[in-house]
Amino acid sequence: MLRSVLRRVVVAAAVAGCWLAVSTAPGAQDLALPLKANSVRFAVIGDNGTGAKPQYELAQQMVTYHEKFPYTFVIMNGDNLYGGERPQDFVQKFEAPYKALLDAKVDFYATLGNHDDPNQRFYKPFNMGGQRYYTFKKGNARFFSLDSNYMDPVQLAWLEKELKASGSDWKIPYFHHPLYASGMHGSQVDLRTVLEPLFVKYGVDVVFAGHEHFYQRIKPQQGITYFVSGAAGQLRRGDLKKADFSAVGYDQDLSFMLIEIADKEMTFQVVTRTGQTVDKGLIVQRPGGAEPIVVGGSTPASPVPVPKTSAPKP
Amino acid sequence: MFNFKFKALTAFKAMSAAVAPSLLLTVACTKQPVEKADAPATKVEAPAAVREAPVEAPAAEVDTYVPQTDPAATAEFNKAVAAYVEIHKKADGRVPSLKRTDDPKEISSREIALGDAIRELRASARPGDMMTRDVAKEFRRLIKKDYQARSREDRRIFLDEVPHFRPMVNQRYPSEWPLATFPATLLVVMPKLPDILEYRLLSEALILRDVKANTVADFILDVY
Repeated sequence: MLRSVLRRVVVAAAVAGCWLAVSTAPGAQDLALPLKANSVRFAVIGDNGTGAKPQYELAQQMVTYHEKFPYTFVIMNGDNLYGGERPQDFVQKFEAPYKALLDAKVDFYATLGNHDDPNQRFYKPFNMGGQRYYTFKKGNARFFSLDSNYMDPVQLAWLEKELKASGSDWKIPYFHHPLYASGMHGSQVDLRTVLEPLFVKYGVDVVFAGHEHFYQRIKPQQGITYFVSGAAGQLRRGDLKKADFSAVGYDQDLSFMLIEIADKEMTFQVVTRTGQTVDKGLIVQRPGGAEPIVVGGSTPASPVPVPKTSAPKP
Repeated sequence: MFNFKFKALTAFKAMSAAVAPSLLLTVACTKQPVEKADAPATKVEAPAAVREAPVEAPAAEVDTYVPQTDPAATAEFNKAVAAYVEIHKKADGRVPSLKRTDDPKEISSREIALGDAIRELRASARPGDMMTRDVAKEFRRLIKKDYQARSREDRRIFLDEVPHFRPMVNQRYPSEWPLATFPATLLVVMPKLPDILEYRLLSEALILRDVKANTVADFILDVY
């Protein structure tokens, strides 16, 4: 038992040491993902659909990283289109900023935010299959796109059935409203009351949400790692508050996440508009829903330079 | 003292135990036996290569609502909802069918056309046609109990994003306002709605929103 604990500490320290070495190395746009053969590679964005310059700038950074880390799909944590949803809005707020990725056959899988008309589910490039909530599988990972705006008993029953049938793949729900977050909106306790028991019961590994316009990684809660990634278009600078459940947060610039899943390991990297990495780490899937080992960095000690262009008001 | 939140949570626990696949097709509103939670699924080897599976649609509906509204009021409401569904269907038949499309213009123009057709078919609709006085009284009771049971911080979050516009029957839901999340614990104790309708909260109102037409089917004020 003691040897096992010591081994875990040594491994964690070694990886953390590596991370510190990498994080202090000069030069932005370093890739912190292993690029293993046959791995599942994707990006995560949230609250992106402003159509404003910062969204385009972050999208350009996503393109830059796609060249080094050819991810095949992107999950969208909601608020895909702010404001109007006229045909030109779909172009300005989605098709144009992500054109290079769409041209490269990167698929986008959307979820509905509180600013999204549910009829977005009929828009083919969002890959929602005409449904407000749906599931899909990539490699050994199963994703569950949920409609957190309207978590009715029918959706919960569907989720339970799908989670139960999903085997021991990585189980990754994503939706708009975070169960844990320490920003302006805070944790969505109502939602947590109904979702967390299902997540725990069926061994969910990782959860992605948006809504808060920053990045935040939550300390594992009952074996589940929660991420808030809601700053791919909107930014609420300085909104992160201290919270016991918070592991790492970053609210000084827009950001997106890159994820690689290889067998039982998920590696993640969080990148800003300027290409700086503000968090990265490894989550090891363990049998029986045991607490994952998360080794990662913390918010950089020195502030990351932020472009002068300002984000639109939330 | 009647503890509304406790009852809502209890209802969810009961519901959660009742949705095992073997029970999925059971008749609505019957009490289900509680099944023991299954152990985590067995090991499945990761595939050699990344493969893709198509998006899967939701399965058949399961009725796990536990309405805590007066039965007579619930029946009255269900009848009004059924009448609205008929109007919606009729309107739906007048506009092009909506399929998945690459062209957002098809989505928005169809939504607008459907809203126009519904507006025409129920031009004389008035507030309270669906949520009648007795129904409104029940809904206010449930929402107020839920709201009053919340902490100050929880109320702040609850009201954080509710839109502040004054609703009108048949109006198009303004695109500049978000759709405030409807509390999950409240949804379970409200009467179930068909797919085309949903409950939504505004700053002082409860609305019934037509999801496909993006219109306000009915509303009641003073719900907190």
